[in-house]
Amino acid sequence: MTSPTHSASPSIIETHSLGKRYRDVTALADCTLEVERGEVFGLLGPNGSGKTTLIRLLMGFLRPTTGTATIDGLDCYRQSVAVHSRVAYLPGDARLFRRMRGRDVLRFFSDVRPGGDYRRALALAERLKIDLSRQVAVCSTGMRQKLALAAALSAQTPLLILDEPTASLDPTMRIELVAMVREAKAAGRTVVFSSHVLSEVEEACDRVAILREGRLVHVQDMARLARQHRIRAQLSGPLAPVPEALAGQLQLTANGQRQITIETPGDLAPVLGWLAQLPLDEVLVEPLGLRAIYDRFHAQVPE
Amino acid sequence: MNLALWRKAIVESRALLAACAALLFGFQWVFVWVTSQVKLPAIATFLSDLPEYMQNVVGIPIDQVATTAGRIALSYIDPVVLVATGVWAIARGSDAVSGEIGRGTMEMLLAQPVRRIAVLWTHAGVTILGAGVLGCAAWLGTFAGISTVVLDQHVDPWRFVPSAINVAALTFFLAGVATMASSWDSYRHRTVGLMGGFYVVGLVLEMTGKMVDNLSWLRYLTFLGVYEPQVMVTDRAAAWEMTLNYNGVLLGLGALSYIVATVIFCRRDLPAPL
Repeated sequence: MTSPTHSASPSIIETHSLGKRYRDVTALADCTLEVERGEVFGLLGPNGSGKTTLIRLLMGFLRPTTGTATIDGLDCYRQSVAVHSRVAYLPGDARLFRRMRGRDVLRFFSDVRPGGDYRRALALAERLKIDLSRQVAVCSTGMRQKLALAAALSAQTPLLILDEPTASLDPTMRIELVAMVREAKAAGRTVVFSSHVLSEVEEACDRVAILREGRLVHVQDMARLARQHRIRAQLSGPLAPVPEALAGQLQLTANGQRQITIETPGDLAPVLGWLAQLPLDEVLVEPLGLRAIYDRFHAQVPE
Repeated sequence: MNLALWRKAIVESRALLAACAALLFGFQWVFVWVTSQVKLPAIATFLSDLPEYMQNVVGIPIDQVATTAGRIALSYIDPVVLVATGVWAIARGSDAVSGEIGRGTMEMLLAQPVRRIAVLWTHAGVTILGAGVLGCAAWLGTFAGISTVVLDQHVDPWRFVPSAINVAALTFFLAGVATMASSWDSYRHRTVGLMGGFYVVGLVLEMTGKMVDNLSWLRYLTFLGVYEPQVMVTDRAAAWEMTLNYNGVLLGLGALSYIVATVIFCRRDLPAPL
């Protein structure tokens, strides 16, 4: 890592009531969150939900309208240079210097950053199968994104911020990127990962924040989510009351006349005994998954 | 000082600078040769037959234009010189912020641990050096012409130094204003359009002020009012005083524009790539 830790706080990112308004448009409002050191933190939400605004505020590109954001104890806007020495950033649609060749791009980003590592950038470029002899102007979007990825990941910073990094990558490279995120985590780095692809976020992240219309509406611990299950079944008789020990923990939803869905908050074992007594057919037990959580906040409501 | 930023700024600008400098050098040289081909009495007769308002546009007395040095001095107000310096100043100035934002590269640049002021001033540094190079290229072209072409009268090439300084100062001023417009804007084509309009309005004010006696005060409203490199050659007594005053105004306003540009750029939000 190029920069020593500035703050003793377990959280590398802290925001308090962070907000950004553009005249009449609220891009982000009252966002309070903490990202712990060493975790992979996902940002989920549809277009316009505030993910990119949050990231741009963290990068100090935007002046907050309300609240504060700090990285490693440093104010993201006022101390942006010190913050950037601790952050490697990859935007969703990375634009590079069109007249440079791939090799020159990597050289530039290594040289411009104190402690930049050109050899590491070259090694990453080889791993990502980038043709470094080509001029950026004639590279495909995916190739440019990979080049930017190599430049960003070569910086040995404690924090990586990736804003929809897989948007223009092919499936093979998406898998490779998720592997790189895991490697970064294994090396003790913190990763903030924004994506539209639920499976990627589910696979890579320790915690996920869900945003809706510029507001942070939910933070999901993925380890906890992995213990949650959903049971779908057809009722063949009357539904017995939920035992007192389980009441308040289970979420029961009746879909239509006979179909029910039960969501469990944690260990499945205590529920199985009760389920065995119910008049159920066609029982399907599955992990709850991030999709179910996401749909709670962003489900399409039929008109 | 970040050497990588300097290298990038030089690599991005060297082709344009080389082209503009070559154009100025070659043009000045050729202009001296053309001057040698036209005999003085013929020129004097032609000019004295022109209407008075057209004589005023030249900016120097007709008897001075009829001298070899006076005619060579006119090369410094030729459209070729104004276009070459204008292209460099507006291309570079508009590129500083709105150009990088428009191409989307500003985001990657400012994500690095570099200060915004360093990004802007490195760019400006190369642009200002380029302004100096263009002034030198213009003078060297004149020097080469005078040294290699046989002229009717002896001409001291050092008389053209104040004119070349005026060319460099004008370029610096235009680049400063273009950088200021760019620092506020996100679209380079709009910055170029604004600067084109600014230049044309300045030119119209200058021409009108020269051609119409009652409207001579219009020349105080345009930057071209302090661009008179031809007078700096013909009026030898006032040449260095004019150099100080005129270039002082251009350099002062240019520096002020760069300061305003710095304040705007360091405080503005950086929009997402367009």
